[in-house]
Amino acid sequence: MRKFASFILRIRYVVLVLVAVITLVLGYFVKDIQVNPDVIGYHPAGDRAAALFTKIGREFGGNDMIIVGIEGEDVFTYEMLKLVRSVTDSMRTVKGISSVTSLTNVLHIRSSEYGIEIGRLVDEFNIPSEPAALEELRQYALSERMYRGTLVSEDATATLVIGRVLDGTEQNVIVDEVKSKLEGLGSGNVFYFGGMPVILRELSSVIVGDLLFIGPLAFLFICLVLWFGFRNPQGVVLPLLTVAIAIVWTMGLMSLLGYELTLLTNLIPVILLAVGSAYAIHVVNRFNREFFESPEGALQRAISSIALPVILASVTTMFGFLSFIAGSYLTMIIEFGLFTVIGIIFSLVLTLTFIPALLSIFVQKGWVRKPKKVQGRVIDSITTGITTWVMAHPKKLIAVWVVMILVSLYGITLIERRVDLMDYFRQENIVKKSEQLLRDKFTGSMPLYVKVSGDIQSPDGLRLMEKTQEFMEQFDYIPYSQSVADLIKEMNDAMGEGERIPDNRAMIEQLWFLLDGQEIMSQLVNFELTEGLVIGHVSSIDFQVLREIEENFSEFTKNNTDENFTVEVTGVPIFFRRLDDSIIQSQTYSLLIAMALIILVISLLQRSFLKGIISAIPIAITVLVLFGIMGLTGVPLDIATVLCGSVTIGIGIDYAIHYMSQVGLSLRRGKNLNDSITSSIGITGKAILINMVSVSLGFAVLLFSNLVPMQRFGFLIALTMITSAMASLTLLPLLLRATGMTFRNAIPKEN
Amino acid sequence: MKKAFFLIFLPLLAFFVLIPSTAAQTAAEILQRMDQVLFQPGDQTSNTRMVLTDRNGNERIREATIWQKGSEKRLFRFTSPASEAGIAFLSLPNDMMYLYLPAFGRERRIAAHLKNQNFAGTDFTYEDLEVRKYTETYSGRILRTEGNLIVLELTPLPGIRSDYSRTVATINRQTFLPEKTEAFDRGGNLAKSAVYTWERQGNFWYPQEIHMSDHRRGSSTRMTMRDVRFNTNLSDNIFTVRNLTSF
Repeated sequence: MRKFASFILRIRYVVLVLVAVITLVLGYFVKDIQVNPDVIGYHPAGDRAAALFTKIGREFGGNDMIIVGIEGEDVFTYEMLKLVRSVTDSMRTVKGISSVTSLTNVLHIRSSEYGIEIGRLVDEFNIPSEPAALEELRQYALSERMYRGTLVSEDATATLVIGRVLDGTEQNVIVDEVKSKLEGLGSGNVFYFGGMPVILRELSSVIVGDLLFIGPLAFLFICLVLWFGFRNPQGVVLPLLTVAIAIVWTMGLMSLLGYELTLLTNLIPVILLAVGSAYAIHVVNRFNREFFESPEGALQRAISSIALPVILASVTTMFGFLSFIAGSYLTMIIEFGLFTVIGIIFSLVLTLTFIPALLSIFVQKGWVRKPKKVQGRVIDSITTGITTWVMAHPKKLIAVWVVMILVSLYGITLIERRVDLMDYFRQENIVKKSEQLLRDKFTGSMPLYVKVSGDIQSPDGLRLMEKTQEFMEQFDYIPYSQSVADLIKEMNDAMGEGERIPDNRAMIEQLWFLLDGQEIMSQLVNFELTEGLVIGHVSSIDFQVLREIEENFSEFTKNNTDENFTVEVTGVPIFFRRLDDSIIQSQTYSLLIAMALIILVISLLQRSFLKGIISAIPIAITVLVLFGIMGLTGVPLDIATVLCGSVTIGIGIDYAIHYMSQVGLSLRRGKNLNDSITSSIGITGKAILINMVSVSLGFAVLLFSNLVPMQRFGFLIALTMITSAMASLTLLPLLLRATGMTFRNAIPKEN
Repeated sequence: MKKAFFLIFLPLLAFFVLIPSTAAQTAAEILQRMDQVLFQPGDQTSNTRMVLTDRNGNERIREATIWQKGSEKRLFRFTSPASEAGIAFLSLPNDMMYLYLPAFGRERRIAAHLKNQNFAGTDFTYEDLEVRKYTETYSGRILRTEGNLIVLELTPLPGIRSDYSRTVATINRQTFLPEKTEAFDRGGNLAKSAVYTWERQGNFWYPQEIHMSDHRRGSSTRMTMRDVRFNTNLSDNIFTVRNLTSF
């Protein structure tokens, strides 16, 4: 390590120039980074349901809908209908919207005294204004399940205009254009915006806003912590600069390689700030101490003694994040793990090269102020208190932990699972409010697709679709479904043959002819008439419901596929179900992998598997407590909180390693086991507590995020850092004393 | 209706006599001249072929025979594809429209207020098939003249129900036939456009082809006419509900 230190110092200018060049180059790419908040899109390419979903989107005019809700006292007034028409017209002209459905243009089939009507519910050129005509329209629209709850709310106070967005279009641009076109329309009426493109658009801007707000805030936070900790320029500037560069490198590399900023990778800056600054802090801290003793050769001494512990700490942290790469099904989580590991490597490399190089120049220029001896009285008294208490009350201590474990185990049974995108927004968010309106007043907006392939123009094909609809609508959470069979039945009725599928193919073909060219047809059948869609509108996102849907429909599709027809299912509920599944799976695998890797590392260092296990006990308990708290406080397992377990293991294990190493060091210096155990709490306790505070504060900044999962993530990690530190400082001494084990020194002698 | 579109169909159903052009000065005069050019024939029969192209470029082909008598009686009978052969639409005066589906063996009236619906999956609406006089439908304004062409902006007269806020028609100064029309929706966006190829038979001009594009649907219809016969003294019996069902 000494050789390494002098080598770095010799080539310090090369280091500085290299860092500057890389930062400039990668920094240039940062500005191009794209934001992609889509959660559903992050399925592996081989996923069959995902492939079918994409195919349906392409062939049937787009899966995604921009939904505009218009609320007013009464939808069935001349003014409101005119407004609906204006909104419909405005949306139709937006490029990328393939079709628009609203009260003023929705297809309408009926048989009346005037004959067969295949037209529009409302004549958009002659909107009724007479009270009698409006009342008649109200009665009719509210009595038809095609309209009630899908286009107009049951209480007639809200109506929807639904635009389908073509696949492969710039959805954010379309959403913005729709919003700007509707500005100024309908003064006094409130517009609500819903649907996946709107939600994702909002998530994008929240992510960007978060980065622009949380990033600087976190820097400020860490800056303050550093200032109070060091009270000298090198102590503040160097860690911050190092972390900033590491973030620029990581983001630049992501952009350069074509990766997008997701709901998870936008966490990376904060993680690097919290974790990466800790490495720099160690180096600067050690330098300050050495410099205080003797300025001569302080830097070299500092680096050679601190390099290995810092490398160890970063390796264990990396293991936490590596577990996502190996253990996750979702590419989104894999990318997150990958780039966090890369960011940590960058931080580590910079800490060991850039900081010494810069420090040496600081020293040369005389910029380094002699550090004041920091009075650690508060911290000292805390560690002394812990030591005394732990040693005096082992039984009480164990009792406390046992109670915590039991409570946590109970808490775990209460953990909720959430895959609802709405969960991501804060309560006051306008998109969340809109979605609430849609969910309260209208049938579900989550499409479930059953695709029937075969001769869909035959009586059998249509009957299969009819049967699928019947199957769907027996579930409370699928209040409404549609397919071409509906239309054919209504047409048949209008022709005077009753509301049923004709037995005769020629009849079907001729009814079909009348529907040809209607916009809705391209959403229900493909051009070749070999595929038909049955669309169910699912109203619940409860994961029990999602599971039921997947189970029921995979059985239904299997039972109804024969030599003539193939039946397949896909859709948003299926994805959410998969997402839920993969969250659980990610959780299990990545936790196991992280734990195994950590135990492996410690076992190798200590040359004893048993010791590896013992060291991992505090962190294992921490993870238990983490999930217990999630269950008890109602923080659900979601796309972000699923990461907490492995992150906790990666970062929190450091405390145990620090403590165990100190015990080993103490033993080597000739102290007996009991003394080593006790004195080590005091010595490492200080470092652990400072680290705990800075990392917790770093993550706590996420509480200011506008994304709820990020808030939860920050809150949980801050909490587990405290738990892990406490478990390491109180439980490990007891475990060591109980087992009577001695430990090797993993960290080289310091002085 | 989309007065705009009768521009298109006018010629199809009616006939144009070539009248030597004199320098028309105002838009109103041009409209008048266009109406003059419209010679209401006794009757007309033709076979038409419609090529429907959807947004994705998929094509569907339909063929029909059209009988027309005066401006208000018209019978459309599909001949191809086989599954649609025999389907017929009959238009009679006073907005009476009937539909006949041979597989059901019965006719049904079509509600009159549905005329802005697309006809048989094409990009033409029912009302595009109607005939109206320009002077009774539009007020015109000359936008510009380009050599042999006059570009007119046509705005529906008060009380005229229209899908479109305005139509820009490019008129041939010699023949007073439209070569191209562009219709704009209420939001002022281009909604539909049509391009014509004219053919002359005897004293009559007829559109050998109309290529209609719906810019909102992204689809287009190419309608071609052949076997056009004028004034063959079609019987009134052709345009009856009974004739519809007795086919």
